[in-house]
Amino acid sequence: MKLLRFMIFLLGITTIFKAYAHPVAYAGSTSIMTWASESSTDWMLTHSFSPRFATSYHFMRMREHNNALHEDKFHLLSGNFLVKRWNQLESQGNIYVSLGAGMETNKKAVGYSSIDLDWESRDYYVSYKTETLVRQDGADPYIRSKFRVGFAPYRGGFEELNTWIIAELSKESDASKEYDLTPLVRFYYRNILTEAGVSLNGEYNFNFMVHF
Amino acid sequence: MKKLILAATISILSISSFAGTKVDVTVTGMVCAFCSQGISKKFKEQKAVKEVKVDLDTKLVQLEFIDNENLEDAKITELLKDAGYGVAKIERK
Repeated sequence: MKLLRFMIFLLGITTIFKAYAHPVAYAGSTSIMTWASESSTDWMLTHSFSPRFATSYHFMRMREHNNALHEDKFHLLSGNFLVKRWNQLESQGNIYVSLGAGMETNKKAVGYSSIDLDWESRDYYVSYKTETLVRQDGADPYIRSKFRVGFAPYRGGFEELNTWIIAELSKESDASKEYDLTPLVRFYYRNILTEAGVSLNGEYNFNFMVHF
Repeated sequence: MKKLILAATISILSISSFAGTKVDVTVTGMVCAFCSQGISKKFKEQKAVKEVKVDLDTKLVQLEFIDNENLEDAKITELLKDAGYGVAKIERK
C-alpha cells in the first residue's frame, strides 16, 4: 500500500516522459529520437556538449483527447542538465532536468520543463519522467508523466542484440482516462534502439533512437 | 654462431619491447550496451589506440595501443568521464 501511494505521489508531482532515452549523452554526441503514438509524436535532435549538458530541438504533435480532429504542434529548444549521476560497478542512477521554450504553430509562446529519474542494472530498469508545457494562450498546462519498470530476459553483450521487456504506466493531464498501461518490448544493437508496444487502451507506441 | 644467436635474441627482444601495450580498465556505471557505445567511440578517436574491447559482464574496457604509443592514466580517466562513466581500476600489462 505504501509503495502504491509512493507511485501515485511520484506520478502526481509533475509531468511527457522518455526515460529510456537520456537527455544528455556522451560529450560530442548527437542523437535523433522519435516517440510516436496515435495521439502524439515527438521528434528530438540533441547535441551533448559535455556529459553534463546538452541542447535539444523538439517538435511535438499532440491530438486533443476531446477533439480528435484538432492537433497542437510545438517547436521547442531546451537545455538538458545531468544534475546527478551515481556510477556503481553493477548499476547506474541519474537525475536530469530540462528547461526550454518555444512556440506553438499558432505563434503563441510555450515554456517547457522536465525531470527524469532512472536507475538500471544489467537485469533491471526503473525510470520516471514528467514533462510540463505551459502555454501563453491561457490554456491549462499540459502535463505528461510516465513510470517504467523493465527487465532483461538475458544479458546481451556490448555488440550483441539486447532485449528488454518493459511496463509503462502513463498519465496525461487532458487524457480521457486517468492512467494508461503499455507493455513494450525494446531492442537495441550498438547505437540503434527501437521500442514497440500497444497500450491496454489499444494505442500503439513506437519509439526509435540513434546516436552518433 | 654465437654472434648469430645473440643477434637473433636481440631481434626478438626488440620486437617484444615495441609490441603494443595493453591496459585493462575497470569501469563503473557501465551497465547498458546502448549507452556505453560512447566509450568505444571516445577511445577510437585517439590515434594511440589500436583496439578497444568493452565487456559489460566483467566491467572491463580493454585497450591495446599501437607500437610505442600510450595513454596516461589521467587521459584514460578523462575520456571515460567524457563518456559519462567512472574508473575503479587501471591495470597495465
